[in-house]
Amino acid sequence: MKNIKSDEDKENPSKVSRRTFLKITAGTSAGVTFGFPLTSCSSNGSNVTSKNHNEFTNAWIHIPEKGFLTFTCPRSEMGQGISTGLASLICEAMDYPLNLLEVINAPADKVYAHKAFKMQGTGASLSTSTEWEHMLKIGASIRATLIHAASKKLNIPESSLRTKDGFVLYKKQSISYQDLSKVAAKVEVKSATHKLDIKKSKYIGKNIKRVDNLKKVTGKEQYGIDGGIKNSLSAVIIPFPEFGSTPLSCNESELLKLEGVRHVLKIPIGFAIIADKYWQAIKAKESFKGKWKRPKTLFSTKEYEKECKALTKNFGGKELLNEGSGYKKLDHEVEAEYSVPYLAHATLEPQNATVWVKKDEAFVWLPTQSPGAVQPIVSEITGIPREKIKVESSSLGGGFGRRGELDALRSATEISHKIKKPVKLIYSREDDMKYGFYRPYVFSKIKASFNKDASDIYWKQSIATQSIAEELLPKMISSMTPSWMGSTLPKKLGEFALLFADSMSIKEGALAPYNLKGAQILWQKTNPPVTTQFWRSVGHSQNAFFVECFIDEIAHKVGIDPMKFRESRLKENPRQLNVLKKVKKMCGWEEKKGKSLGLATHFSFKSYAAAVVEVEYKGSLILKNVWIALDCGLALNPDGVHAQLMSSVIFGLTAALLGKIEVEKSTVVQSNFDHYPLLTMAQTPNIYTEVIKSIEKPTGAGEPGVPVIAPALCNAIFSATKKRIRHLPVSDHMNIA
Amino acid sequence: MKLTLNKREKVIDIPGETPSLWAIREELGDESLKFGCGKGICGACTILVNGEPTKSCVTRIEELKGTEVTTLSGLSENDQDLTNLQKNWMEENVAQCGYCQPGQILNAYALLKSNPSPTEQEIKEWMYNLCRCGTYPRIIKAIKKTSEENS
Repeated sequence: MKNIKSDEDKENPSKVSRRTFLKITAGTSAGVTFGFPLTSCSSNGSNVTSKNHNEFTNAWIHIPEKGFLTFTCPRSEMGQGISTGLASLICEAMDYPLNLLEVINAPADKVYAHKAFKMQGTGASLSTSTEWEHMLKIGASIRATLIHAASKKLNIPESSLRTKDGFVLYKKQSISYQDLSKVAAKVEVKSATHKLDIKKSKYIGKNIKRVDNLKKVTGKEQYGIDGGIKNSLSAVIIPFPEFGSTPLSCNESELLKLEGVRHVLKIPIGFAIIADKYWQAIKAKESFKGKWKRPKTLFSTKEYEKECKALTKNFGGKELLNEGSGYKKLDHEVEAEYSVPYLAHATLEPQNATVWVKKDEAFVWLPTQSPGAVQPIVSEITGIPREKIKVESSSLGGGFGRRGELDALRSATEISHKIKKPVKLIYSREDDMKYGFYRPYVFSKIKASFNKDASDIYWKQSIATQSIAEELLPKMISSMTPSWMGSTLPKKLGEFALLFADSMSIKEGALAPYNLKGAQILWQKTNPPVTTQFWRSVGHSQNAFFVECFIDEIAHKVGIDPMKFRESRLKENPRQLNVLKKVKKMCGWEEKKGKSLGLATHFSFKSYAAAVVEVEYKGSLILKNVWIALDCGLALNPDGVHAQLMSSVIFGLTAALLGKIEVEKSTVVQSNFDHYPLLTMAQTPNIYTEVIKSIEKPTGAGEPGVPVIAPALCNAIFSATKKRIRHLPVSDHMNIA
Repeated sequence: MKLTLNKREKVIDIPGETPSLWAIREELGDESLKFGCGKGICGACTILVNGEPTKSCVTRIEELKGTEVTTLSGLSENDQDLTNLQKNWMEENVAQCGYCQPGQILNAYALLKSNPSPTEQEIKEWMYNLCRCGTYPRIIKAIKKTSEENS
């Protein structure tokens, strides 16, 4: 079990780090450690080194003299199955049994930086597509190195050696990788590639078992709230009650008299109560009374919605897209307003962080999608150099974008910095939901003009919403830049980057793929005080809803079956047309003549998705069936992709049917699952998933199933009831069974 | 007060009103039960008390006096001796993030004890646990498979 051992009395840092930070203990190593001439395998500035010359170790694979090989997974496992996916690639190329590989989460280290993000992080459904070839190379290189080591050891030419399931074979002799560890640690590391042959592969393209199954069915998986730094004090926060309020004072002396309470602190986001045990801290929180400096103007989503509606009234805003020949008025014209609410990520594991700030070093245990941003943040708060901050990642009890944010880390660091003791901060569910970062509210007004059969369509749209990038980019750039730059320059760089990326999450997926004659999309930028963050599928989550519902409206207006309407307009897009035809067949669209069925298709994260939802309305809405098909190129583990599709359907339905975060008087109204419900097992319809067989390069799988669900659902509701739902969630308009 | 946790007798000396979730996690060192909502809604904290599924976040520790408590870490003796339910959970690749799974598995285990051959409808009526990753369909599969094997 992982436990960062603490030894408060002796203040002995080496003792603290030895077990869990095995991979990042200091020491030099000859040749072997970072021998790979591969990108992102360089040793520059990395903490990851080997100290034991008798064992083959590099940043990715550790081969002990005895026991299982260990793979350090560079991306965060939050349920999406990336640890299984990447481990299977390594095993495929290394020729080692997947069920004998131990997979651990990577600590924060430059060597694990994401190739696209330039920092260590997980998101945008990019882990497989950016890492798969790299993982094959690493596996192949290790295999080649082991063959090389065996050739030295046995004094036999490499060409007469081969490998099988973790052994190097020579005639009838076999020698295990572990037995070669010592020699491999001293030979030159070979560089090799692996040519993937799906027909012959052991794991790739096959349905495989998750590497974390055993831990997860026996309760051994460790999340941020588990393990961590032994003997940590427990902290709760009392975050600001309103966006924009700041803490003044509280009944500190009264709280300090309560059992177990050690400290009461004012921190940037509010107050913190620190007790010996968490149950004492939550008990003390019940007696908390605080004074706050309140914001001068109060914000409400009801008012904000009106403001957004007014902003788009005359189709104004900054031009985001202008495709084809702009907007022209033809014989027919339809116009509609759509909106999607703020949404919480509601990861089942509330936000938390465990931090120990000592005099000149710090330790962090954290469930995060952004390990690469941890050291810069802790360093900024404490002044401790980044390289003296050891960060270990726990498994994540859900991510969905929320764990790209490091708010709990900031507060835990502030606390530990003040009291110089290890602290585990766990948000209550209410803190998590009310002091959150949300998918933005987006209002959209669209009009389209078209001829009789809508063979020519012009599109004009004005979108009112805030920028996620504006909040995020300056923070991200600070994490990506070296510490000598300080914080001012990176912030300036962030502002500069914003010039290009500000509208990123607003326009992605906003353009209908149906051969429009012309399209103009404009943005009315708003500036509400509500904090935002990427939410599973980001801008696609609203844009697919706007596009696919409005296209459905046009199809109905001209009297063409919505399936046929899309099919005939996707002829130049064979992969998207293919998923559409697949889902058409799965749901029996023709036999049912589309009755009570709703359709949507959308391209996101370089993958093509199509879904059909079937509903029934009997005084309340009953979900019957959902069919979904995805083309994500080569599915490394089809079973894993099926799981992500199932997950996306339920995540998408939860949001479309039930999800809504409201703000009144600058305070988030919803606080727990009673008012921000998640779809239950009983409400979940039958879900049928298909993964298109493909040999194209692998693309996103964790997110692209989400965007199609809301529009397919609302199109189905229209088909069943003739009621067009344009403002989510559906529960605002009808009862749900 | 005394209670039996995973077949071992334990003595616990903290205020009786303490939620058993935290008492078991912090005082008895078993962290396999999870904190999700603190209000008895999500079921991540589910434990078995004398075999009955119980939401530990809204159950005072004093209510567990003299009872037999089972958490996921004690459902099987060791990794080589998993219950059929756990084996099928792995077979179906049910877990994603896995955070709700301790509660799901224990609740499903209790269901099969009280009703060895549940219909799909009965499974849906029994299983109150929320899953944010959306693993419900596979949970149903794993329960059904176990039920078929047991009969």
